[in-house]
Amino acid sequence: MSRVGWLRLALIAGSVLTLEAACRSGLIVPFTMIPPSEMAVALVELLSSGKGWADVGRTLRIIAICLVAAVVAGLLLGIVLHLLPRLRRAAEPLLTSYYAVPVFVLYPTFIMLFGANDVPLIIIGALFAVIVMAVNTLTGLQRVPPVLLKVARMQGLGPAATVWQVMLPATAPFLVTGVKLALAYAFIGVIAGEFILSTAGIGHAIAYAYNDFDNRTMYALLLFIIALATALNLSLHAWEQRLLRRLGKA
Amino acid sequence: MDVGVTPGMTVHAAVEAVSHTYPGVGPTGPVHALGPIDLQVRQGEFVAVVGPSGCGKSTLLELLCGLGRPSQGRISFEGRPLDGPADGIGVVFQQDASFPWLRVRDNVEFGLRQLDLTAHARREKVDGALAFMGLTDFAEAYPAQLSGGMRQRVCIARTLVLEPRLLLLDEPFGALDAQTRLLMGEELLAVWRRTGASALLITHSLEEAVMLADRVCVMSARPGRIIHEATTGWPAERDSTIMEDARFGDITAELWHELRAQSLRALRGEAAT
Repeated sequence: MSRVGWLRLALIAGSVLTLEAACRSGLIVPFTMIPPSEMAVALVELLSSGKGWADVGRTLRIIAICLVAAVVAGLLLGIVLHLLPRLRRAAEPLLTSYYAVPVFVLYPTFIMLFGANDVPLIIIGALFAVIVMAVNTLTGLQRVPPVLLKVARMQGLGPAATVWQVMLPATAPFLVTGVKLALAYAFIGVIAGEFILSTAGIGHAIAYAYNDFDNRTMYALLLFIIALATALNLSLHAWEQRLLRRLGKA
Repeated sequence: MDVGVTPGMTVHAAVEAVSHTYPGVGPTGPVHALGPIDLQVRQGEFVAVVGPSGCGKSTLLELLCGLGRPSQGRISFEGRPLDGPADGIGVVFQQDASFPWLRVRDNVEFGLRQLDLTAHARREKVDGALAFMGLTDFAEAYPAQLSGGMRQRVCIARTLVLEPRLLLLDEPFGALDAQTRLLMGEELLAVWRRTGASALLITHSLEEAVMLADRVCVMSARPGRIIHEATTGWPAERDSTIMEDARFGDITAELWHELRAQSLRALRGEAAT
C-alpha cells in the first residue's frame, strides 16, 4: 500500500479509536451512542439471530431495482440528448440544477398516487439516481473523439454498429462513473424513504429502533449500511480505476 | 540518378472543379474553405499536397474520403462518382485514432470484422499486417502502453489490412518528433511500394512532401487552390537519404518560394485573391 493509503487508513482508525475512547470514558453516554466495538458485536448478534435479514433483503432488492431502472433510463436519456442537440441545449441547465431541487418533497405525492407500498420508494430512489447517470452518459458521448467516428465510417460501420462498437466503449469510463454515483444516490433515496414512511427495510428498522430507544439495534444497522455502501462503492471505484489504467487515463 | 518508376497514366482518383463552403454559424457567416480545385491522382502515384495552415487541406482529404460532399464540383474514384466512404479507400489521420479499449490485434482486426470472412482468414490477414508494421510483439498490448509512433503504426496496420487501393494520409506523422517522422516516412514508402496503392498525402511539411512524393502540389491560402506543382522524379526505391540529393534542395527551394507567399498571407489573415 502507498504512503497515502496508510495515512488514509490511519485517519479512519484514529477516528474510530477516538470515538471508542470517548464512549468508554463516559464523555459520550451510552444513551447517545454505544462504542464502535459494541456496534460491531451488536451487528454480529443481530445478523446471527436472523432478525435483520428480511429488512436487509428487502432494502437491497429495492436498491437493485432502482439502480437498474436509473442506469437503463439514464443511458437512454443521455443517448437521446446526445442525438438531439437542440433538445440537449434546452435541457442542459435543467439537468445541472436538478440536484439543487430536493426531489424528496415529491415523496408524499407518490405515496398518495401509488399507496404506501414499494412503488413510491422505487420511484424516488430511481429519480434520485437517473439524472447522474444521464449526465455522465451525455458527457461521455460528447467527448468521444470525432476521429474515432470517422474511422468507424471509413471501416464500413453502420449507425447501430458505430453506437455499440465505438461510441459505447469510448464512453465506458463515464458510464462506470455514472453507475457508481447512481448506486450512491439510489442508496440515499431508498434508505431515506424508508426512514420517513415505510413498513419494512433497513431505513424503517433504524427509525423503529430509534423510536424504541434500542441503541444497540440502531447502531448495528447504521454500521451495516455504512460498511455495505462503502464496500460497494470501493469495488466500483476499483473497477473504474482498472478501466482508466488500461485506457491510459489514470 | 535514374528516372524512377513512371506512374501509370490511368487516373485513379479525380477532383474536378471542387469548391467547398461550410455553412456559417453565428455572425461569421458561411466559410469558403476550398477551391475551386482540380487534382488527379494517377494509378500507383504518390502525390503530396502542401499548404499553409487553414488552407482547406483537411477539407480536401475529407471530401476524398467520402466523409463529406463538396458544395460544388465532382470527385470520382476508379471512374465512378464518390458518394460516401468507398471500398478501396483507406485513410490514416493525424490524431491518435487507435481504439484505446481494444488490444493492438483487435484494433487491426476491427474493419475486417465487418466483412464476410472466416476467423482463420481474418487472423491470417491481421498477422500479416502486424508483422509488416513491426507490431507482432505488441499484438496483445493496449494502445496506452505504446508510444505515439507505435500507435500510429497500429492505425496504419488497421487501414492496410483492408487492402486499400487509394491511401489517404492526413498529416499522419504530424504528432511525432522529427526523427520518428522521417523513419515512419520510410515505412510509409515501403507500404506504398509493396501494396502498389496510389497515395495522397496532406502535410504542412515541405521536406516530408518532397521526400515521399512523386509529385508535390502547393495550395494557396484559404480558400485553397492548387497554385504550383513539382514532379520529383525519385526512384520508387527511395528513403530519407534522398534528402542528401542535390535536387532535393532545388525542388524544396522552388516549392518554398511559392509556399512562403501563401503562408505569409495565411499568417496575416488575408483572403487569397
